[in-house]
Amino acid sequence: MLNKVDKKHENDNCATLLIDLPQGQEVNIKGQNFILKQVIPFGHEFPSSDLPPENLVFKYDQIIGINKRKIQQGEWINVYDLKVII
Amino acid sequence: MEEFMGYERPKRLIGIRNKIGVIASVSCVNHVVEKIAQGIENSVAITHPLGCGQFGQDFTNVQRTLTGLGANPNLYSVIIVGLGCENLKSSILAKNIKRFKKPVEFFDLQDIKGGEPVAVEKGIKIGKQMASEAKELKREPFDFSHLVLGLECGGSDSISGITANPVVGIVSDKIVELGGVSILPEFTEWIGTEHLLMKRAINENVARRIEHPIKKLLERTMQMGIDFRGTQPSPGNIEGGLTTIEEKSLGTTAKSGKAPIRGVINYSQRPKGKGLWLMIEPGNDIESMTGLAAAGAQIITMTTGRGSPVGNPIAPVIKLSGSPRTCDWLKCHIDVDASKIITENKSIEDIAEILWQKIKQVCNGKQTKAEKLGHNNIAIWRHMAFPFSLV
Repeated sequence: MLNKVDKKHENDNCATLLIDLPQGQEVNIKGQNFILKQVIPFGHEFPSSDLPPENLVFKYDQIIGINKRKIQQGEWINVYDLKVII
Repeated sequence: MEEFMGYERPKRLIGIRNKIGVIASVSCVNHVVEKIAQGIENSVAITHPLGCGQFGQDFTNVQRTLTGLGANPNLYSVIIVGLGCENLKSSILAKNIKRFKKPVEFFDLQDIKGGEPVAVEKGIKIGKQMASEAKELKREPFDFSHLVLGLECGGSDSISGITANPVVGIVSDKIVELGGVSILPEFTEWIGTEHLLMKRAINENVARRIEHPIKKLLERTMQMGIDFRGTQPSPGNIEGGLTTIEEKSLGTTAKSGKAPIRGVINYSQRPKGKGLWLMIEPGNDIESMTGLAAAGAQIITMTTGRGSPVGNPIAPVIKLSGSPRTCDWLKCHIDVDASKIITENKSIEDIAEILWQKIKQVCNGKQTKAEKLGHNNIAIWRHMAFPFSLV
């Protein structure tokens, strides 16, 4: 596995995990290192910086939702955490 | 110049398959249609649960779809079987399809003395004659301006939007560049990306037509007490990492590349010119691919992160997946392994080139995995007459 995480755009504040990794694993996104704070399933997303509540979440340089609770860098963003904006 | 080997039909339409279509005008004769098709070499049975007891848009929709399927250039000729008392007359379907100047025959079971066994014998006799004529045709070279590509996706995960879907986007742009047609269906998966699609519309009118069906759908379903936004993403999408309808849509619409959007067509409607078109269709894979084939698509690409076996009896379906697990476990269903973007550090462009070569091979006659396995799925989108409780 070469690409472990994928961040589509520099403005994005979340990244996609492209391999199953254990909790506590250190990952690197574009030169920035941090720890995965929980088990995140393959293909799911996590914030690349701390997200305060009611923050816009960006992927592909586009808004994919608003997070309801505070999500820390390296935590799992799951379907219950985001609400739609449309 | 890039070319493929196809069959020339009247009206300068080009087929990449040379099949005999046996179409039921109404569900009552589905079994007769299946038996006829079993007796004819290189034929396909087009059966469905509709054709009677329908009215309004719901009726015209089915009529337009079955006409479009019969007209698809992948069919050399068509046999239509009716019952006799249904709404959707076999004679009307035959008349519609004959406008495409291909051989068309039709009959109703109620007009056959002796019923099913005699009808099956009659159908097979007509079909065998057609099949021997079809065999005489030879493939000839044509450029890609003759190709209509359908852009399907199903069982998406959050990997699809960063692997297989942008791969298809590159190939869709290439088809448009070469003068062909590309169609993006499933308007329920444009929700949340309207602003981006509207920016690509060739004019203000087309932009409005992109936004309109989505607004109308959300309004009308809300009036019925349904928040449509809550129906997407699906449970499988969520397990695959998709969070919101916006995220799903951003991945989905990546299949349409960067080309300008020429217009918005109704379900099963033929595009009125070359380039990229959007089709109103509500996100069920089988219904969507049926609509694409009826709109004239000779070939369909389907991206499937989670994995899907489905195929279409008229337009071959090439499947791609970006998920390493799906490409391994469901290998027998996946034609192009886009997971190498993750596992082998291949670029989106590398896989797009592999897909392009695959499209050429399939156009030239090579079977897709779904064709080999015999997945011939047909479902027609219903404009539901009673989408509310009557009790």
